[in-house]
Amino acid sequence: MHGQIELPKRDQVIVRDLAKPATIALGVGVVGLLATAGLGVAAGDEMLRFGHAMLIGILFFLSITLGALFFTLLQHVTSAGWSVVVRRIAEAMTAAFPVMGLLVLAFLVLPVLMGKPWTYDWADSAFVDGHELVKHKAGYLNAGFLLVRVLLYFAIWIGISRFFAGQSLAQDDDQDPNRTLKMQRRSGICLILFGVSLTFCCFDLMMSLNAEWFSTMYGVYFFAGCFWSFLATLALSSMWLEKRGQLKNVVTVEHYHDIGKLLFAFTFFWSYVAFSQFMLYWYADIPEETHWFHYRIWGSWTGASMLLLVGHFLIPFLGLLSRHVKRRRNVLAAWCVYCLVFHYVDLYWNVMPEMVNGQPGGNPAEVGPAFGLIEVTAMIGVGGLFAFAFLKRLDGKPALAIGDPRLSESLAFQNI
Amino acid sequence: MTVTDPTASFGNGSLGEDDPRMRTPLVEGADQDFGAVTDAVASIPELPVERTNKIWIACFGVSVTLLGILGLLILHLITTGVGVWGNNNPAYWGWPIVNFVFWVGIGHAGTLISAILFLTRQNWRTGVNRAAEAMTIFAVVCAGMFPGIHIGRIWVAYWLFPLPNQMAMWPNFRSPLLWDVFAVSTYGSVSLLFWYMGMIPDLATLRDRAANNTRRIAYGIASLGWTGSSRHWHVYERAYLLLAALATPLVLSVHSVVSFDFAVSQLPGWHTTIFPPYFVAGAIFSGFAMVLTLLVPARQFFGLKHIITMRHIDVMCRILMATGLLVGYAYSIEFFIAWYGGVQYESFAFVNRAFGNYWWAYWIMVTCNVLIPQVFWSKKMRRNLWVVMIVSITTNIGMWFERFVIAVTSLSRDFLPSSWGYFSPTWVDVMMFIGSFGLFFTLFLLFLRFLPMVAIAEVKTVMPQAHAHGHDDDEHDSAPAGGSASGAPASRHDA
Amino acid sequence: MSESKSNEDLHGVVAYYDDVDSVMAAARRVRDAGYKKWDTYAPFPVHGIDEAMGTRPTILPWIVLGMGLTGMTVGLLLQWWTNAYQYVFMISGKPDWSLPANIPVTFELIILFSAYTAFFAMLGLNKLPHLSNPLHKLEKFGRITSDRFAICVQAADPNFDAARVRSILGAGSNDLEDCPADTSPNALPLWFHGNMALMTCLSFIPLAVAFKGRFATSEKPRYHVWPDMDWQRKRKTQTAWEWEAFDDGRTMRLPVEGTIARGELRDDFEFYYGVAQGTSVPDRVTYDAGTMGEVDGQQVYEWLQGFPAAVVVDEALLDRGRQRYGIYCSVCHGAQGNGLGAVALRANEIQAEQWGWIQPKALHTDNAKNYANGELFHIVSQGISSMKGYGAQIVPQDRWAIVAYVRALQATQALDAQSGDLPPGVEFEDVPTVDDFRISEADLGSSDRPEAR
Repeated sequence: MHGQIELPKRDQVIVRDLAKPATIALGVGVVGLLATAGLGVAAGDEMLRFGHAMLIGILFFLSITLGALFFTLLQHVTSAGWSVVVRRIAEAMTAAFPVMGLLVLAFLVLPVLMGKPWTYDWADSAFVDGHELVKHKAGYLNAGFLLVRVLLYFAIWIGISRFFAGQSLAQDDDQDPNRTLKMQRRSGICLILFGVSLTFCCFDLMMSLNAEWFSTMYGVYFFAGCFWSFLATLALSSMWLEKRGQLKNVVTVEHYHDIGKLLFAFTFFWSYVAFSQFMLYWYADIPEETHWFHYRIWGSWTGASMLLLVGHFLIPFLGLLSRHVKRRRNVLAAWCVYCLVFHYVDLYWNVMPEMVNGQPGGNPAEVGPAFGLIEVTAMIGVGGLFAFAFLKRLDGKPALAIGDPRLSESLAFQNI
Repeated sequence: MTVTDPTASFGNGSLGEDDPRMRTPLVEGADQDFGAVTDAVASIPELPVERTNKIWIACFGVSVTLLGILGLLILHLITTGVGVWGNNNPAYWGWPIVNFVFWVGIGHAGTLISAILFLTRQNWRTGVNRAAEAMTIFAVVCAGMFPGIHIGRIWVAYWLFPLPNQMAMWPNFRSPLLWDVFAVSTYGSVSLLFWYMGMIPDLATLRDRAANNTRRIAYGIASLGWTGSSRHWHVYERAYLLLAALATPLVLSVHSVVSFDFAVSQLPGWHTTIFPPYFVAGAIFSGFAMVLTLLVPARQFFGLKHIITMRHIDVMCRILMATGLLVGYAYSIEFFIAWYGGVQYESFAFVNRAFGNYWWAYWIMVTCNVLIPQVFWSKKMRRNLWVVMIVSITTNIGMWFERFVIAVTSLSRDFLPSSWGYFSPTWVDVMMFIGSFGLFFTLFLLFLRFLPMVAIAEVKTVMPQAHAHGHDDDEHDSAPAGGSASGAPASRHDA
Repeated sequence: MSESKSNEDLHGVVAYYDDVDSVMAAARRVRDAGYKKWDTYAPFPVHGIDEAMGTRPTILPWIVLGMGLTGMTVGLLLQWWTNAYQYVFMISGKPDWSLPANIPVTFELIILFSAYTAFFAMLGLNKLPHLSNPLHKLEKFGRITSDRFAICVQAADPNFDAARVRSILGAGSNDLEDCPADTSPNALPLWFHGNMALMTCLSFIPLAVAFKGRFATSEKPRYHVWPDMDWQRKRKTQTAWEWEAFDDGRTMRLPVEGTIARGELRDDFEFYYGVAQGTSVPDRVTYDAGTMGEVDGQQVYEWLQGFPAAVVVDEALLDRGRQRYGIYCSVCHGAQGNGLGAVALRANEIQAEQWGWIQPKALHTDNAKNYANGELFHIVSQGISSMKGYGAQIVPQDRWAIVAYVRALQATQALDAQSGDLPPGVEFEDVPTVDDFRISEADLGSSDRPEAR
């Protein structure tokens, strides 16, 4: 049996009967968005809570989608073999880019175009006039340029993801190894485009919440969260498809072990980036840089910050340390859910203090976290649409890249 | 389910060595077995001293001469004082610190290859990791020397360490410079352990092949009585994995701590949050450049072209280009944020880097680090050893200038125009830097000559013969991808 | 290979194999036969051999984890003890115990401890270094570190039976041999002991030299390793030097005109201390509210009765005094000198006596009037009772101006009018006293009553 692996047959791995769940997800998503909008209007705070709740929801699922795109590109650029069996899941997730693009345009860019500071203070020209530092960057932070940039980011992401997913699907049929070579050749330049667009997207959508603050590392910080949350989603999706039968005997404990190792590595990487960013600003203690951390750490956000330190670093670090954890599906699944929860906490901690900040008389250090129904509905709304795009793409197609020339290598893969 | 042979099912026709249907063998040549690998590597240190190659002797002579010059200059420095350098007010950190960061950066590729690539199962590392680890240690030796002699009163260098003393004083643990002491000394000693531990089985090989008693006793003591016992291998592998897992964050931390030396200050151009990952990427970049610079001639010279293959060089060129792009990313983001942040000093610092007094240094850095490595997009260039050599050397030059740009331009143009200055090196600066290459190459040449420069045991593990084929031996060696590393579709009988 | 060899002479039976498959198969057979003291030898770690041999997972990771935690504890304790407890000092405004700044060193120590442990525990668990091994005596065994594989079942195994072992091992190998036990004596040779003893003795020499240096005295000057710090190319002050000095041969310049030597700045006792020239100078300890500078009823100090020669009492001085008095004194003593300044009134309002508050004195009492000018000057400078000294805030000239102004207040105001004392045509105003402002319990009400501590 050595050297020759039983390749799964095409019929066995086709994912069927997802049209209905996809429709349900779409319905749930739309209802969720409507509910969020309703709650936002009812809150009577000029849609501030709405804007920020939506931003967290969008960022959460956008980060998973971006992580999926990065994973796809990374596997090609390194000519990786082990990951072929799970790469299709990542490719399917990248189908969410158009939906995400629409959400960003509708809920984040459109208010800025209308001059409404629902999410971004700098959308309000009065705010800009009152803040010398923000006025300085008006050439960058303005509605028109933001629209252009967001369109550009999504054009890049949709273009790349369509190319890679399309080639991979086409390879299912013709099994042409030249497609692999083609994808490998293009993955390098695509990674460059990906890196630059992700960085600036993060600057635009997250960092500019506090238009006076800046950090060169912020893009890397966001990226670490993207890949972390994606890996958790990947493991969960793969377990789900395994349970449904499509990936049974295909994705083995060895693959989960590897995903678990990456998850562990990125737990550490996120902490490394987060600590470096914090430590450098804490140490130098320059007001225009430190204030961002100051109201997060000294004030009513202290608890949230400590939660992030313990929950996003210490607990998963210790929890994922053991190989036994990574090699047991149920345990790993629990940790994946845990990681997703803390990815949300991370985004919440980044976004929410900025809701009050910049408002007249608003001091985030005094107004603590207020998690409510609207955050939940926003997550359900965006999540529903994400699931819709994901399931829609999976439906009727093989659950793994059946035509990939490295499939047998991936199937036979073993950890040392 | 059908039993399928990958080549049969995935179309016909060869796609050359990039064919994704199979992995190129890591050890080239049709007749390579374990013994041949042992012979190829072990014959280098086994060559009798009197038959040492003339070119090696010439190189060694030059290196030792430079090392001697370095020694004399250190003596000159200690007896005279740091005034012999060009360091001035405001550029207190001149070449010594530039050289320190340069060397410690080079010292990153070794442990990176050994540890990170080990964890990510990049099996091609086995061909080059030993030499890269040796390079790491010697580079760290060179790096550690510079801050050591920069402290002025070098005879009290032990004050850097938290030792009880009659003054009842302790070092300041809130200072990044002390973090550096801990980081670099931890890194140096752990790298040494890692290197030595990897070498124990190979030293045992040399012991068992030794032609005379002197060698047998020397290698025998150094190999600690290693027998190749599988129970020993079991613990050994676990320890190696743990060391790799520990060394990976260590590599990250060391250059991050070096970057903290700069970034915790408030000096424009130093204080920016991207410094830690940017320094790490730069360190890997320069480290791989140095590995290429050393191994491209060495493989040619010692006849190891079938073990350090063109594929190794190809992969390292691609890593070189990727890390070069990461460094380029950091340059651009720094520039953007310098404007975006709206801090006038910061904007000035960056404009000054590109167009101020030291514009030439900045543009040498950008050319060497970002532009030139782009030639590696072309496979033809990656396979042309002359191009590889030139690019790896220009990368080293570029990375030295990067540290120069960071350290010197920021110091010489800080907040107050009244405290501006200009730094020029003295002849002692220049000769000490050249002398540090003498130290490095002396050690490295000795390593090449007397120790196994390739990890013999590890290379064997990635050969196809190293994998058991289960009980049914009749299907022996029918795997088309038989030359593969871990990618060899191995037996799953015990899974 | 002699069958007659007893188990004492035999270390074990060794079989050699040429490829991974056959050694794996043989290892499984030996494992299944139930042997304990046996091992497989290979030039590299063979994937799957642990399972084939039934090797149990090593405890090494746990040792490393334990030592990693130790490293963390040591790192944190070291930094806390050195920088936050034993030798506390302020640096760049950071707290003594600033955790973010202590993370890097803690991290490095975790790695340092763990990595050293991984290496040395590996050696310890494998019982290395172990330089003498009977297997190394076998010539063929030398190829194990190059390209062959071997299995050795030791004679020490309780189930050892040479014939059975040979048949088990021989199934996949036609190259078997017996490994004789190591019969060389365990005792180390005499030359080794001799050398060790000599080395031990020699190793005490540096210690002895250091010990002698610590206690012995010597007439010779100290040995200077780095003479440039001890004998610097410079001239000390206050010395003459013909060369490399100023034209007049001095190594320093003369002080500028009007320079006052150290300790001679306050030679004018009257002006600076309010006592007669050359008499003893009062301080806060010998002059306090209890003794008033008296010892056994005798005044120690010769207080200046008038004003020092350097102070000219004129309208400008009184004007200056009024101003300074208004700034420094009136908040307690009141603008009129009746002890009813803003602070006194507030203290009165919140009944501060219960917490030890002492009322500022009115300046119109006989007691106050009886002070000599010098004594009054001293009180302004150094304070008395709970009044703090104002010497640090007010220059001497202004303190004298205040004294003059207080004298003027005493002359023009009074607590209880005695018309006889007045110059003709001048009438006293009735000055309110503290008691006029005292508020009764009932008046305080409940609204803004201060909380009693």
